[in-house]
Amino acid sequence: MNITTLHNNSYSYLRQTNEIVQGVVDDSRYAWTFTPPSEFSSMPEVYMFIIATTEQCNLRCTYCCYSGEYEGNHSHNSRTLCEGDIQAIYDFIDKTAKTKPIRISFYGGEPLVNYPLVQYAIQAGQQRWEDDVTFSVSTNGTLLTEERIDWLVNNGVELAISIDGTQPFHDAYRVDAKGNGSYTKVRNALAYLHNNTFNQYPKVVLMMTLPSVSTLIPIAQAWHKDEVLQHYAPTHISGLTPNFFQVVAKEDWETLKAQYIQLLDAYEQHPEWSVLQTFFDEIVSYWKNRPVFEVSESTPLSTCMPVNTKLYIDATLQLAVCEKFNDRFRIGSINDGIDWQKANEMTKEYYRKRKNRCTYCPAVRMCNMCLTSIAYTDDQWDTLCHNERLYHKLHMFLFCEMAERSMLTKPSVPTLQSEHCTLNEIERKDISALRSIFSDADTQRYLPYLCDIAQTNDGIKQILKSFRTYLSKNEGILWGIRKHDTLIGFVATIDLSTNPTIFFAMHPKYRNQGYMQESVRLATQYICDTKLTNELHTEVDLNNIASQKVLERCGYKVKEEQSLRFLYCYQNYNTELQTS
Amino acid sequence: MNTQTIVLPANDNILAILNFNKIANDLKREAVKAMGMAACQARCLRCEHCSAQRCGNR
Repeated sequence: MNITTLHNNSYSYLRQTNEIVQGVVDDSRYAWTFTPPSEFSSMPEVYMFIIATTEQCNLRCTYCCYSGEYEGNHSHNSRTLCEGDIQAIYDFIDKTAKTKPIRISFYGGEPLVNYPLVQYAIQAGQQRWEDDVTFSVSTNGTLLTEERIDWLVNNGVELAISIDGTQPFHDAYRVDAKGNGSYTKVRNALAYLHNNTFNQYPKVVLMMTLPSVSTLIPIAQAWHKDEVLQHYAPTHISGLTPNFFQVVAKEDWETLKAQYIQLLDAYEQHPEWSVLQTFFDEIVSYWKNRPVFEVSESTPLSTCMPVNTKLYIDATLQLAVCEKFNDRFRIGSINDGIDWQKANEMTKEYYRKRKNRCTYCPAVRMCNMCLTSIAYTDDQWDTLCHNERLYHKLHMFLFCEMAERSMLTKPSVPTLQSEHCTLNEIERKDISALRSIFSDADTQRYLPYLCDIAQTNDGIKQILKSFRTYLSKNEGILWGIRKHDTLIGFVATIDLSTNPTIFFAMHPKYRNQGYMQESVRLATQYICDTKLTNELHTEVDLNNIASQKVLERCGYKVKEEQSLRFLYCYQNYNTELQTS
Repeated sequence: MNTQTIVLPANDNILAILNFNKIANDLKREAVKAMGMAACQARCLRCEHCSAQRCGNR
């Protein structure tokens, strides 16, 4: 697999070592072999159980795999489990789960269509397993009332909510049977979660389906601007399942590459757009983390069984290894247990299909084709393999391109060290220490605008988030000042390219001990040494004698006297900063 | 003045970034075994977004 970046640098991927090298290198002669699968009669890693409590749904999303448009899958119907079924499932789980804690995910259809059953199942599970069980619900979000959110959150249930962007994008596909959009209800649920529980409750994951990448930039922009969605990042962005009832086209390299370069340029311009962050993080995730080592013998075929960590139980109490399998590929039932013969046959069929196809395939180590693809014909495999190889080549191209654009290494706050203090990144765990600095009367008097924002934890998080954006654009840095591990103050620089400014504050307990002087000196020297700017300004209240002394001792001069404040300036042509 | 400044290394060794996760020989056996994991399972383990409670892997 060879690519050339926009800077005309060529890179080759070598399957045998999983390595990327410079130049054009051909490793196509290495014949990949898989170890034939062994017979299995247990699944020792299973701890997660996906339970389809119902096949009913209050929406009719146009791309849904249960719309009746996908071969082998049921369409929405009224089939629903009952309490007796839940107990039978839990008996099966007791016999089957090999490790604890157990994880139970409720699926559908839309599980909340039968909310009392979900409540019953959670309570029954808690009774049975106590702290050895966790729960999640996959939901379209439209049936999440405030009362239900409160109950689910109080019971520690993770919420996996589907949302495809702001209204025009979400409602283009996620509609009810009458064609009405579902966005408003989902947004309301997210707003309630954020306003009432989110600070203490991180267990909300957002699942986005992206039918076409052509809408990704407007989706990302609108998401960033939306007053509710901007507090969230999508957890996962997926495309549509290939549907051979309709057309699955073979993709074209040049078209895809041009499209994705546009997306990459947008991400480079807007690294703070969370939708683009998720999109590109997922694209490069394999490439960033792939283990680089040489293979010289046959390798295991990557298949879920028997090392699968989950089992799926559908609304007829049939078992599958995963909820993505179409209905034809069940491997047993709650009552009869796992049909080991069938499970082994499926794995052998998968091995037969891949054994020869993959021998010289450049994408063999990263292929996303999985056991579910035994449903496809040879022609369909040809199309899927073509697209799979193309997308991996595209992702390799993006990975190399991002490396050359320095987009893979996130900028971090540099750690500075002086005799008594350490300056480094402020984290969420420092929020309460920051609150006590911002709530001090002198800080509020001398930094009123900042303290106004920082009146709440949310406001402080917003400040931290803003500085992450400044940092990514080389526009500013926020340092926490620490004495040992205790946060005692902060010093910040902003607007480095337009109006380079420094400001700072110290907890009253640590004032007048020289710590702020050390810190301002360090920060000033760092900014100038790294040539981020040649001068720094700041405004100081006439009555703020302490800050004036700090600045003057660090080489700042009064540039202008106004009625209520001094304007100080530090110029880089100072050869030495004053010592105390 | 005793000041140490630690900065990010410059992005000049691109191959080191592109091949970050080099596996030592004594860990190769485990790495080969992990190749038997399904692609979705491996993705789930790499995911850095969710609450580490797993997302149901839809």
